Amino acid sequence: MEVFQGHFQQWGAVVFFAVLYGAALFFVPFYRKMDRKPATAYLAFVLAFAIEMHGIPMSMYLISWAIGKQLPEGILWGHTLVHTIGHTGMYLSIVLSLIAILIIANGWYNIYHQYWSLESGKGKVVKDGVYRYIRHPQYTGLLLLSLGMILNWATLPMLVMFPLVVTLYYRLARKEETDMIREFGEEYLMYMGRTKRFVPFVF
Amino acid sequence: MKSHNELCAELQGLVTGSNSSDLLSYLQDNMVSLFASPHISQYYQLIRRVDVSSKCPPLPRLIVAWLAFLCGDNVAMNTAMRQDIESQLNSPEERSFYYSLIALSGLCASPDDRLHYGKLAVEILPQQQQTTLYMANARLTYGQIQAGFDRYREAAELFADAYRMFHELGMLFPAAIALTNELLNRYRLGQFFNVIEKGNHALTMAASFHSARQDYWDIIYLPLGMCHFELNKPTLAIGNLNLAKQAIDQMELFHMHGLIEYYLFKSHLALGEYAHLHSIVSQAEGELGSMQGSDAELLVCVLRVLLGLNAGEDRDLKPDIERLEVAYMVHKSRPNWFLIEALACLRIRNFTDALAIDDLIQCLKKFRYSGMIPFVQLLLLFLSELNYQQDKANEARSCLKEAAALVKEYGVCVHFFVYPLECLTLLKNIDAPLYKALVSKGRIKELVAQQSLLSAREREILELIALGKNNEELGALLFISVGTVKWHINHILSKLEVRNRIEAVNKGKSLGEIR
Repeated sequence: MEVFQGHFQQWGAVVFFAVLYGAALFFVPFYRKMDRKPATAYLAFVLAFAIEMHGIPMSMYLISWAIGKQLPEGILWGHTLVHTIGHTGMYLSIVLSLIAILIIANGWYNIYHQYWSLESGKGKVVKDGVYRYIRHPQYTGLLLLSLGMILNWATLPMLVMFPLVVTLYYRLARKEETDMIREFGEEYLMYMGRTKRFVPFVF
Repeated sequence: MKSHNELCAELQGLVTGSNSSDLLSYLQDNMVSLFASPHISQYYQLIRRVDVSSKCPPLPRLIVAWLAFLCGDNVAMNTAMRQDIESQLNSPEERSFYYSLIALSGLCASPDDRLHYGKLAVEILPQQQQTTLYMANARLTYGQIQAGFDRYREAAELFADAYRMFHELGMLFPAAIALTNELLNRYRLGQFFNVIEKGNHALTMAASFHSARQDYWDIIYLPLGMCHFELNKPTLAIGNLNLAKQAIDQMELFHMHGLIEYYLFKSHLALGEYAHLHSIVSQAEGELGSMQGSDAELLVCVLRVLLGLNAGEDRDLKPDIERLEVAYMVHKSRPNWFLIEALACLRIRNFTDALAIDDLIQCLKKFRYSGMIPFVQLLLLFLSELNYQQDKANEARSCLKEAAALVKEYGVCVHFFVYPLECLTLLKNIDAPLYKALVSKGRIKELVAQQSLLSAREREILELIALGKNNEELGALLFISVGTVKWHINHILSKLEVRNRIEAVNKGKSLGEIR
């Protein structure tokens, strides 16, 4: 069990986690204005996570006030389901975050070297590294990070926002694919035929 | 469905009889039999004098127009299509039949209109009903137009539908044509195994279900041969292509000609059978060379150039080279693939500089966009070679890497074996199995010998070893210590991948390192 007061009001920790998870966005390319909407949703998710975990557990207070009794730890505040699964959620979260960082870094590395150099005439379909299996590694990474946060410290705003983040990134991915088909034609269609969108071999 | 002889006899009778409306209604009633036959030109010869004035109903007029178009009589087609025929059409079927002819014949103003009318012909027909000739015909036509716009995937799907429908209607000749077109487009998309499977399936069906197998099914050997060629099975490809050639000659499908000659030529080139190359080129000159200024004649030029470049012949290539350069200048925005191939070959041998590396990159981009896999690989190899010649090893390597990746993905590999490119030595560190295959086929051998493995000093030492000197004598002769001699010899052994100095001498001789 956490010491209640020890965990909250740690504004340094809030900033630390917000920056840590928010930094992932620096490795996701932005082309147009519409790309920012999912990123904003993700950032809001990260802030909700950081503030409710180490700042003030706003939603817990609100719910407690509304229903008139205190929620047990692990339900909408505290380490997720801490009474049932202990700190497993936190460890899972760390594992998922590490995987996500690897995927994002690899995706960023490949796209930076092979696609962003579009001006120098080298822009081509990136099929190397993690792109051999999935078409949107950065978004997979961000969604894994979000899922990890939920496993670590689920709160009401996060549970509400998670489907929104997923939907927005799903739509963005679809939109980008149509753009890529317009740019690269059959080559991208063939690439789509052998890869999955977010999860290798599955989806 | 009526047989060929019945149709001929009955048409003959109706033409000699004076009543043209009987003939027109006969055409309408036997539409399916007419269009199912491979002998359309014979029927057209019989009915070409029929009067298709504005009094006659639109459908027979459309039939006459289609027959005229299929037999290449554009004047008669225009006559039949004139006179506000569009306003007289009443059913969606007639409209579809009309729009597809408009789209295919290019009677409409712009290329975009052709796409528009082709699509309209498919979509105007009511859905989910019994298959009709109109549905199949509209798909066959729209497929041809899509293929003309390099949309191979859409075209292949349309042709596949058309094949299924024609088959359902029992119209086997158009079915064979539709299937051949489907397979040609799938070939372009690199779906070689799919083509071979589908083609063989259709051939088996044709042989087993129909009592008298019709020769036109052999057209399917054209895409089959092309795929076998790309998979580096040139002997098989030559067998297929010759069967297809017979069928095409028999059916008088002249527009399919160039392809056959090109792939036959390349297959023999892959086998290094230069005598056959000569006969193919002279035959093509006879058959296609007379059409001055056409694509067919351009292809003959290309074949002559490729023959001259690869068979080491002393023929004067200047006129052909200039002809190709002009053709490229004229069609720069949309050049033929075989023209690009010839110009790239010429450029590699320094015969022309009409085709710049940037042009080649642009072409590659277009081929990538449309998904023309075999030529994507060919252009990558050419680009690699040109970069290699200019000492841009990194660019050469990345092109080669991509070309080798295509081998793994699609199986397409023949062009590694067709042209003796110097950049292929780089393959050693990219795709060792492929490199070994090339070496064993003698495609890289000479180059290995030219590019010496050993340094000058090591060669000197190996030559002295061959004369029977031992380490002490070598040290004394070369003014170096015995330790240094051993150092050099170790390098020689590891470079030549041998165990002792006797093997080293033998291998050194066989590789041409020492005399």
